[in-house]
Amino acid sequence: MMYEIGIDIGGTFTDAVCRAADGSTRLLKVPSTPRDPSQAVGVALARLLADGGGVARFLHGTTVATNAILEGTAAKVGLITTAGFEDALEIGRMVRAANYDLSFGPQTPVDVVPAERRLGVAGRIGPDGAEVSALDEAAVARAVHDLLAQGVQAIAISFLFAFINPAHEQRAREIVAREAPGLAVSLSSEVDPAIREYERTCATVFDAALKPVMNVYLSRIETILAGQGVSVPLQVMHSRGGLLGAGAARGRPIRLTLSGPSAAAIGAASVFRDAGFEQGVSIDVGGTSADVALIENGTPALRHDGRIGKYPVRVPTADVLAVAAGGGSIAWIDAAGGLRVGPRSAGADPGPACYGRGGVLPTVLDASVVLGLVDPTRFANGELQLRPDLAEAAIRRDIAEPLGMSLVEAATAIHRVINATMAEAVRQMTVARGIDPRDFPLMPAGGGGGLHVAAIAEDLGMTRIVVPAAPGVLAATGLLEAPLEHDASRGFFRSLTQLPEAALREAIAGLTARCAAAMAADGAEADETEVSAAASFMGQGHTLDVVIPTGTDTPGEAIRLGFIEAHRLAYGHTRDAPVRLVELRVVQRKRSTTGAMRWPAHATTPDGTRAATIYGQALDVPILHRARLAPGERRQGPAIIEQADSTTVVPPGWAFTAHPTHLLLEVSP
Amino acid sequence: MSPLDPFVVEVIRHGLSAAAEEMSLVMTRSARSPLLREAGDLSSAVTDAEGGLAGQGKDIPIHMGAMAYAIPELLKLKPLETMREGDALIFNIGKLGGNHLNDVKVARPVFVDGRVVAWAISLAHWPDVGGTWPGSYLVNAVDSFQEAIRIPPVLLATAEGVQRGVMDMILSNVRDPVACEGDMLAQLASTRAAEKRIREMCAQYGTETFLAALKRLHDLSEAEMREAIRDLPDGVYEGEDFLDDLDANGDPARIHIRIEIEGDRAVFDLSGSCDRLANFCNMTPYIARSAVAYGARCLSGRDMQQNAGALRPLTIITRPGSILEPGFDAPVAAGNHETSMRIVEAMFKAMEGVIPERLTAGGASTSGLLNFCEPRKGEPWRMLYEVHGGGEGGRHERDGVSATRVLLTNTSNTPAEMIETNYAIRVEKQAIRRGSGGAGRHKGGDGIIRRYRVMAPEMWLTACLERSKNPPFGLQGGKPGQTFRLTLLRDGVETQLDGKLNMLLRQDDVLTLESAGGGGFGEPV
Repeated sequence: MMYEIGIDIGGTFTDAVCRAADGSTRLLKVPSTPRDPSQAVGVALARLLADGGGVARFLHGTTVATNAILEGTAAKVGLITTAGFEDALEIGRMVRAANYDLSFGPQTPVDVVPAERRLGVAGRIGPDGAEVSALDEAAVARAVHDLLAQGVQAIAISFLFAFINPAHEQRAREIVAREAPGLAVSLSSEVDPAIREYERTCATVFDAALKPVMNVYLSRIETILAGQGVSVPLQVMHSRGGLLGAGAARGRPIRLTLSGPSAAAIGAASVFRDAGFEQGVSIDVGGTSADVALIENGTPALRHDGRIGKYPVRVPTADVLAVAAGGGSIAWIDAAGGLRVGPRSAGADPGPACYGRGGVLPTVLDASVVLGLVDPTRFANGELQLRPDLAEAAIRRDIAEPLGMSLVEAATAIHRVINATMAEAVRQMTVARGIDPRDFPLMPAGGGGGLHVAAIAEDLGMTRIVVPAAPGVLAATGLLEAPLEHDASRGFFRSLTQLPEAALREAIAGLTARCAAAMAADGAEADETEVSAAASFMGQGHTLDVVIPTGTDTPGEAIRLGFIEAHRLAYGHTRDAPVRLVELRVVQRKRSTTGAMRWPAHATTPDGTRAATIYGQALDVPILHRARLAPGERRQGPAIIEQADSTTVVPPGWAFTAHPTHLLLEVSP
Repeated sequence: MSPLDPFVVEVIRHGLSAAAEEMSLVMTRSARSPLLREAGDLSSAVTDAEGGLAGQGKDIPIHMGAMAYAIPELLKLKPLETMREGDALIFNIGKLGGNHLNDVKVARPVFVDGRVVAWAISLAHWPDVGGTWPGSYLVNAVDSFQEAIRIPPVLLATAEGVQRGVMDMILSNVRDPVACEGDMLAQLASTRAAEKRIREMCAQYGTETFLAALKRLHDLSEAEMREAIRDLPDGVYEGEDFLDDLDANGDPARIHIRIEIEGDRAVFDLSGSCDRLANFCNMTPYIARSAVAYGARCLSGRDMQQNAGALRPLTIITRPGSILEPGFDAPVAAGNHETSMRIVEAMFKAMEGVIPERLTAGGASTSGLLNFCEPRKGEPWRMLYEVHGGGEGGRHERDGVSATRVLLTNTSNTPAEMIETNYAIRVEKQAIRRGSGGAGRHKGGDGIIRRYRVMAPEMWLTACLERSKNPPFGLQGGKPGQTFRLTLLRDGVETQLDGKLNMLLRQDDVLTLESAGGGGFGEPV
């Protein structure tokens, strides 16, 4: 039997999804191994292949790149920059994250590249792309040797206006190659070719610093694959939600950051499609946070201004809003006697009070246990026995008694507050963008999504909920569904009137050729090419994306007309004014061709009833196992639907129908 | 469900901040002026029907004062009964909780079932509001009339739509009417966005519950602030700080504060501050109050809600005729962001002997403003309003941060590439000013250096830098940081300029700004 295997590394668990040629699909969770994350991959792979079988595709999602930035464990890097701008990286945009908290620290990556490793060289390009002064090539060579003497493992090069004219950066790279053959180099004009020197330099520095780290990591995974007899090339998930070969990943490792949320969003898009929806909102509820993603036209919405921790990293990424609201969010009473939940979380260690691992503060999960929504004997497929007594004690002591409420009232209030926080996040992703969420189905993911999803939907007037077959491993599922994808972009920041059509056609052809070459390197040919532009009116700050028909002779005119129309759609008004081209982008894809997943149908829980409190109402609620729901059969809430990786609460007023790929909940008064 | 269900209160708290944040989002997306969309020099707020601040976005702290007092003062002139559904008022005069004439507010009463339940206020710093000097910062202004157009509360829109006459009246008094019209429309749109959210909340929870929740939120914040004050030891503490400017007697202009803590009550008496100045560093009493409220919140070391309730336990006294209550006709353009910083730092100095572990030594506490205006024949003037941060003071647990904004301001810089693309200016250098932070057990952060070359025949410059004479102070024996320095290189001759000035620049002039370093904390070892 040949398998497609997707393995996604999370903070606590490493998730694997394994689909056989006949569509039958297994899932596996093994504990993550943070010191060497590849170990868990080896363990999962060995277990999936224990009964023999070969691997047709191996797809991997990893937070190694993100963690290396957050934890400061990336390689030692040097920066060569335009003379006079050595400190642009340290100065940043000068704003601080908090207005009132005086204890804030540095807001820029000053420790990633300290002053002695930031060297300026003379030579300047002006805002129109013309050379103002020539590159001092001898100074570049001196800088390389200075940095080598300081022991750098990689060099980032970021010159002013390189996104318009990369000639100086390209020449500098030749000099680095001559003086230090084999040293990792990243150019700002390739990593993030867009205006604003601080943000572009940040992305470039992190890209360079990640190269040695990711090279070692990907080699480890390749060794594990070879050891298990897997001969297909390793493909990894990048931030846009596509896959790329290990070779391309080594060349631009910054692309691997922010990929986890993208994989989950891709998974959500796929389940929505299976359920017949081209649009929807997903909410992935983990221990410390909830990630909300918007799916439109069958794909996750993208953004181009991502952040890692406090640093801007402008790589295209799924537009996911993370809010500090999860099962571990701590409930507390503020100085004025108001009930608050979060943003602090008990995390995985010590975890909620009911974990019995020394945590004593009441959390959202403790409230779920008190309300009878979660079966304490079957949490995480029975891997952790929860302690209702500890959950009760914590809520009674810290919430119920101070507020003069009963235990169940306090637990209900905790749920209401956290549900409202999550609903607010969904509102920000929809209403605040002019999208009416009532037209959208909502999808719960993560271990906790199903506990809160109906309340969130009701708050927003959403009437349909799509529960994936395996909500707890949506990111790993997304790996199997993601296309192989390469993209290239080029910054302009110029009025279209200054850009002849021929020049734009040539630019698009160049970007397309770069994508095609990358595809070829991964042994594939694209079946989809998408050309788009980011544009604005002159003098406007916010850009809108415009799709350019492929093969058009007049891309400039297409951008102009497309933008004027996009502006009308986005803001309700438009005008026939000069348009600025900010960026051109080309994306090529090859879609995965495998069919739907079939999940195993074996139940482990006896059906029965349990006393539970839903919306403050004490009910005797039927408990159903997901696998035993007959496809097509429609039932009425209330119900609690249990499965290995999650629990879904169906309140009164909702009906539900099981389908092979998902469970559909609908308002049914 | 009881209206005071803690869950509903918490949800409405979230909803109010979300409404204010949505307003700011509308502004940054649709405003025309770079100052608003790049630097984000704007704030949004929701108040209750009486004008008590209820929800605020993550905005500029100093704007909070304007937001807290604007509507209560407005209602003294125009009672609530005179408001009609669909009305939106525009104003900038100091009397209405104003901070300075550049900060123009658009306020909309939010009606539900025929009565006002809340207000949405959009504040935006307009790059130019007319007056003597482009950019509307006239250093040696004698009175407010020289500074800019003065807009009393007038209807900018009604249910019938925009009041064209009012808008045209304003637009014919500013130097970039095209951008200004776009900004005004964006402000109107942002208040409508909040109106929609507030109506949704009233529909979902009931208007009575919504109103009760607002009251409750104020009470909760009042209790929080009382708790914070109780945390401070009872006693009387005094502190002072000085502007770079001189008062009428030729002495450094003094800001003095006397803080009296007793249980959960606090009195902040600023009467000892100097008399009204003959320049633009005066400020309105509302801003004095918001500076004190900001300082109190920092001193508390707590994460508190900033609303009308939090102000109740604070008694703030200013003296009529002083720099902090100079009268309606006084020039106030710079006082808003310069003199207000002196109040906060005077508070810090007052508390040095009591809670040094919560304090930060003096920093580059000024807007650090350079405003470059390029006249263009037959077209709107092009204006770069650029603020400059510097070193933060040291703290008991760490060194000060270099190159940051401190205290009441938190707007970002403009990237060199944006400046060169949009203005006739070349940025020749942007660097850390090494060694400018004061020595100490924890040293002050360093300031920055930015060098500008003028690439147009003529450029009208305004500079507004505090801490160019009186350096950022150290705490607990730490040394002061270096002062701001502004130098002009013209025809090969270098001249040091005043920190506050209006002047004409010429082609190829090179202007170098070096910003202040922070003061050190603790004796240097």
